[in-house]
Amino acid sequence: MSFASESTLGDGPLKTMSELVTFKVNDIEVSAPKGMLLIEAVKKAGVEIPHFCYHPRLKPDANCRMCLVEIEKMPKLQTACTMPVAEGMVVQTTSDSVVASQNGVMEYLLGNHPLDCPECDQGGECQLQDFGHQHSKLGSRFLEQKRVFPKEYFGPLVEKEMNRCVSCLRCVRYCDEVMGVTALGSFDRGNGTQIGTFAHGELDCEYCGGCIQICPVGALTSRLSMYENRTWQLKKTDTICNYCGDGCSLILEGVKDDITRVSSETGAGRNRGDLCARGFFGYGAINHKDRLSRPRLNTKGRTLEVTWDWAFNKAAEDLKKIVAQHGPDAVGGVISTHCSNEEAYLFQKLMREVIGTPHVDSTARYGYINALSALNEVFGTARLSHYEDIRSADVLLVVGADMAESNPIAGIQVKDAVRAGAQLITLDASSPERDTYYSHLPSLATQHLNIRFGTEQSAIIGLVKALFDKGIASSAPRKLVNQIKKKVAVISFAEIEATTGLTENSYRRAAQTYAGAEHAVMIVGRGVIQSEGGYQNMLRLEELSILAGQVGREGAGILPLASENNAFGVVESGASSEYLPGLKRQEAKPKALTLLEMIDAAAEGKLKALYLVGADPLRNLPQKKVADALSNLDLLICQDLFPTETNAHAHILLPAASFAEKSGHYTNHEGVVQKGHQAIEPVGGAKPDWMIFSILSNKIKEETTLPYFKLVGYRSADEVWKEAVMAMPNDWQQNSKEAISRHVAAYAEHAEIQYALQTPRASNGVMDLQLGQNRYHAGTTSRYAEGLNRLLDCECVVIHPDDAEALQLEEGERVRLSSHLSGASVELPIQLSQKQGRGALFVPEHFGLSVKGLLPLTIDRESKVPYGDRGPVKLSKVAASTQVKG
Amino acid sequence: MADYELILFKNMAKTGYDGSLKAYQQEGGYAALKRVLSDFSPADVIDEVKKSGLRGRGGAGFPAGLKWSFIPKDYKGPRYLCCNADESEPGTYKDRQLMERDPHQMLEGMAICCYAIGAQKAYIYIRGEFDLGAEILNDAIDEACTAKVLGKDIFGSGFNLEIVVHRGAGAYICGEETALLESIEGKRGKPRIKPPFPAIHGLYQEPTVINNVETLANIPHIINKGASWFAGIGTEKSTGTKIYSVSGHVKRPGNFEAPMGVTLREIIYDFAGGIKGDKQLKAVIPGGASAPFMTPEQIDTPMDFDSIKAIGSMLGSAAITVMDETTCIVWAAMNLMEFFHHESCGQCTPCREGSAWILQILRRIENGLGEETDLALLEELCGRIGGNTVCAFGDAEIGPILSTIKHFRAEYENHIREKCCPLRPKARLAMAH
Amino acid sequence: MTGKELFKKAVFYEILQGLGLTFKHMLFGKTMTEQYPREKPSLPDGWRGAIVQLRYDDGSEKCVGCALCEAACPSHCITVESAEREDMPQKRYSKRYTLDMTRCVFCGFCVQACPVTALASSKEYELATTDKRELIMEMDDLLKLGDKYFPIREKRPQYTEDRFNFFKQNKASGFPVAHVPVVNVPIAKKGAA
Repeated sequence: MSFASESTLGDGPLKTMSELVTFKVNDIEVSAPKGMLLIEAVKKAGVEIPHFCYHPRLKPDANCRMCLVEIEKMPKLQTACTMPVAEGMVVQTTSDSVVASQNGVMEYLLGNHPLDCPECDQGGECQLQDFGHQHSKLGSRFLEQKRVFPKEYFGPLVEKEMNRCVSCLRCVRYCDEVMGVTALGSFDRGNGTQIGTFAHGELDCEYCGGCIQICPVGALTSRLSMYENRTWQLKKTDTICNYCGDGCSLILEGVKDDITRVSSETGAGRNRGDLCARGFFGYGAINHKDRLSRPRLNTKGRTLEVTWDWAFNKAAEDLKKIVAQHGPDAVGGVISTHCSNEEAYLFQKLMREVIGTPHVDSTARYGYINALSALNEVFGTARLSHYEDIRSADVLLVVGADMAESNPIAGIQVKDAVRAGAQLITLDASSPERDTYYSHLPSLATQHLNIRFGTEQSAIIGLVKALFDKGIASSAPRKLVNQIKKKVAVISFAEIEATTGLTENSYRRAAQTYAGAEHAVMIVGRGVIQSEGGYQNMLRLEELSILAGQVGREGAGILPLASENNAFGVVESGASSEYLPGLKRQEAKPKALTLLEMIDAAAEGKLKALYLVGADPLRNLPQKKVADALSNLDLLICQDLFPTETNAHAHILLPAASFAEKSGHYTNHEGVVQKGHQAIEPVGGAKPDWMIFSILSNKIKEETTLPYFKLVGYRSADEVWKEAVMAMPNDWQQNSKEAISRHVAAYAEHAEIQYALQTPRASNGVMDLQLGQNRYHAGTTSRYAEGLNRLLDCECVVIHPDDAEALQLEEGERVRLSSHLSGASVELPIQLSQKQGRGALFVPEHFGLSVKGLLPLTIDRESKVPYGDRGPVKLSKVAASTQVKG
Repeated sequence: MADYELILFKNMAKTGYDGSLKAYQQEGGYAALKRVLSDFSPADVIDEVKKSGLRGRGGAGFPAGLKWSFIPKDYKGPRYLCCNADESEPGTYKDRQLMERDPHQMLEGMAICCYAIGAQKAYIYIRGEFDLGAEILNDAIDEACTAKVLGKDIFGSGFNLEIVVHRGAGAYICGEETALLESIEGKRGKPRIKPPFPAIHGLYQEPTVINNVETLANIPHIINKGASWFAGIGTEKSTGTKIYSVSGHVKRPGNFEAPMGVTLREIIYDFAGGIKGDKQLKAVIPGGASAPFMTPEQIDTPMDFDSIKAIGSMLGSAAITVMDETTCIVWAAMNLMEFFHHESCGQCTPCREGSAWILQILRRIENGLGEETDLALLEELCGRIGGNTVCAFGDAEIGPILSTIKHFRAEYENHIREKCCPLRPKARLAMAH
Repeated sequence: MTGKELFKKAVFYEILQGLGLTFKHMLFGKTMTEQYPREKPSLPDGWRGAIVQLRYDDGSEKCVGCALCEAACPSHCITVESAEREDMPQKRYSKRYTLDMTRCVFCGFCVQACPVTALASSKEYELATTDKRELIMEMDDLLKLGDKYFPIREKRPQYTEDRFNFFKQNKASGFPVAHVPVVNVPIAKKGAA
């Protein structure tokens, strides 16, 4: 699946570019789409017009005046960045007057520019340097005193050096037009114009790094890699970001085996060159000193650092012993959704074919499997919409997702759509007020369905019920419609209102907008997928889209958001208890165990060996139960980047390579498969996961008697990929219109639809706690990134200012959260945020383990997903005397 | 001294006229609006203004009727009128008098204009320092709304008009029409790129007409007395009267209303009473700070848009600054450049960097530190600003510099040769501090 | 062959001729051998000996760690690791500067490339050593050599100092920002007395 990068650039004038016009530039005849900007169009003739303020991602501002060109029949020189090409235009970019004006602008810009190129981090990739070489004479006639600004930092990660600034305002416009954050502005006048924040405060924004990337000179540079290297020393490698499911293209840049910078190419990849804080500043984890470097054996209470050969032999031997004693079913394996498709494929092959156990699962079991299997169940595919659809949609329905926090780049697509005039409907418990400069989608929404905490299930029913008045799409199967109609008829809007707190009218309005749209895309987030009843709720949302006719056609669809980078791919590659590669259902005997069932089986002594690849069940599941189960195992093999609570129990601990140290394919939540390349050699003595699986398979195979074994010695990840692709041939193009409607019809035949309202919960002094993602962190690996830790390095409780006021709490004050279920309690500092729903608390899930212990765990009946992110807690003030400083 | 017919100053020239609605209506005020609302179609009004030949009084002299006719006729959304009362051109103080002394004259003009272009909301962007003016205007609007001559359902015709007084925050650039729009929208006041022009995408991206106070104040009189009467005053291409704000080395500085086409000599020596201390005239700026200088030989030029343009200057806002023989021209140019440097918005490179550079060179020359090559450099630097900037500010700031170099080159050379200012010998000392 | 030629052959005339020149120089010529290491040669001014690092008059090193010498070096003998100075934020310096003298070809390209003239070719040529590792020179070694050969130092430009004052003042407050931090002032509601 490839998308031309050019078509994703500059949505504005390029949208209607069917007609071609012919024009002349420097006597070369060129044709270009009508309405294309001259500065872009002349590139077709191999002509480059120098510029600073123009950037394809931004609206033209024409403030640098560098791109002035001569156009016949025009009285003055014209800016090429604002001039659309027209038929018969005759353009001169090298005439005397143009050259004179370019030299003039250059001389003006260099007049006050400091000569600190040797010190400047931008030196070597600076547009002012490049164009300066072309367009200025040697020597300067500027005899006056240079204007000097004092040096400044611009927050913990951005350095500002206003002396180098050319006032192109690209940073300001990026912050405004792309991120919608508006944290930057220009202040003061004339040549004292400065880039700054409101009231000269510290930069308080999402730290997407966009201003640093888009600065043509060295005025804004990253403090994280400040002065560490020169651009010409850097080796650049294209890869895919490892943090969330957005699937952004990254360029890792580093010297030797040290990644010191991340960038992205404008217009390239799914992210079109935009990044978030995690992508831009989160590379510190790769070269972190805590990385596991050598295999370790824990035997009889002793820890041994051993060679790889020893570790492989030991692992193979122990596994074979267990298979011989207890049969292959006594072995289970779980792989992390951060691993590549090749690795997931190879892991399931190791488990299913080499060892012979059906018990394979992945950490997609923590939630994303709900979305995948529900979509697969109904539509036969999970590839229903892409970012392009979001950008061109006229209505967007975002359910239970805080996209600006969990999936910032998908959030940018939504912001772009809203800016282009799309209507946004959001459904979650957050309040629509915007918090300082951070983007918050409900604040942009035309309709925000502000439901009560945790009542997504009932709200979805409300939407479906409201849809029946609007009229059902003709494409919806009658049988399904009738069945749903019957189910929702018994539920009244009064009941729904009692639960969700939203009136009939708001549901009607939202349903009408959604169903009446030409192209609507539904975006489903963690609030649905990873919360109680996730699988069924996902089915309800799919039915909603079927009823509204907003699925299975061009430009409309459903996008479930993944919080791990390869949740989609790992499941599709077969590392899942219910699916073989290619999302084919596995009918295994005995029934394949899911993650949670494996833990149970281990606790019961049925499962003797567990192979955890990057999985950390101790963090995600109730600790006591998991710890007991792990200690009950005869063999626990862990494979990870960093030491974790879980792999402290491991008998064999294998150091794995991070995404920068291996190549592999990753599938993002749209279903787009992209290749990441190896940037550096594995840190320490780590090995890529696929290599470990391959070698281990060979070791086991040497004496195995399993008859159906095929050669598993792979020389590269590409070889694995070739085989993995063959294993899932027909599922890649299953998202055709016909295939989807066929599947929907089949689903309508056998569907058993459950519509049940939740019971409204009385709030007796209890607040609702939600664990989730913070915009600066993803999973737990990001905790090792220094840049991200400068932004957020500890757990905190986010609370609405009104609630805090009622409880007489101030920002930073420590509070105690306690569970009335387990009696456990945690002390944390609080943070105020306008966007937090009233009566609800939020804690980022990336840090401590103990908050998880406060929350009840429920398990999905169908998909066996453990839900433990939400629950009621009591919040109390910590008495001043017991407060600990810091 | 010739006796000319007063139009704009007619009311306020009467003793006891206090600018209140009652006083204005006694002088026949709001009759024009009433007539327009009952007898004229919008197209008729535009036609009438076109026929009168009224040209914009803000500086550029663009025909007002033509500007109004650019508003799309069948546009569905709202349209706006913005009255540019951000009078910050050094030496100009005519609008202030019009607003403070006879606010209803201008409000009536605005109402007629709004009717013609179909706007229901009008903004008066008044200079921030005009505290009194804003207060008077607000009072006048309240008074008029109470009397139903403005506001909802004016004269029972069903035509509504809301006028809002928006006070600026002290930036000269906000007098530029697109920067003014940005400022009203609450953004940083910096000019927009044209095209699109405000008539298509103006305030809040809706069609907008922006007119000067003096232009709008003329409208009721055109309606009352007819376009042909108005066209008969002044010259053929520049009709009507003009308020000349005279300042500088004259005996009697002030605002003088006279028909277009009176000579500069008449204004200086008749109206303003001649040069103070009967000294020799050295230079005149005919149209505000951005107009190129004129020499004493040129003062017999008629003061109308085309004649002044023909001799290489511009009528602008007709703010006449007179300098006598004791004035150092380099100092005067430097002084103006200091103003332009301070007011450059910093959006585009040539103006932002150029104004600072040029100012520093002028300071050096004035203080006796100039070099032989400086004049050529100045001319080159100015040449790069003119026509290459986003707005007309760039062209404005180079006017005084280029014209002084052209007319008074010897004086510049003298500064450089003598290494001091002949008229201000202590200047170098001041530089040391 | 004539007799004369035969005679010349017999007495090894060419050798005698050559030896004659030798003896002429030995007995009557000026001595040309330099008695190194007892005598040191005087070197011309453009001599390109060992590369050294220079200091400003206040003793601070000139090098800003720009790594342009590294880029210019044809034998890849220079390695620069630069960083931000702890005591002077936003100031680049070379945390580690290594010049591998065993690989250096003394071409002087680095001297030409240096934007702050921190490098110079000294007249040091006595680089022989019994331990090759001594020739991998660090910043300190290079500065010591520089001190030896270039005792007269350039004055440090003043303005670079002034621009850091702001950081010095604000160091105590931890995170340096240029101006006063934002103070939340509640906006008075319209109509409130």
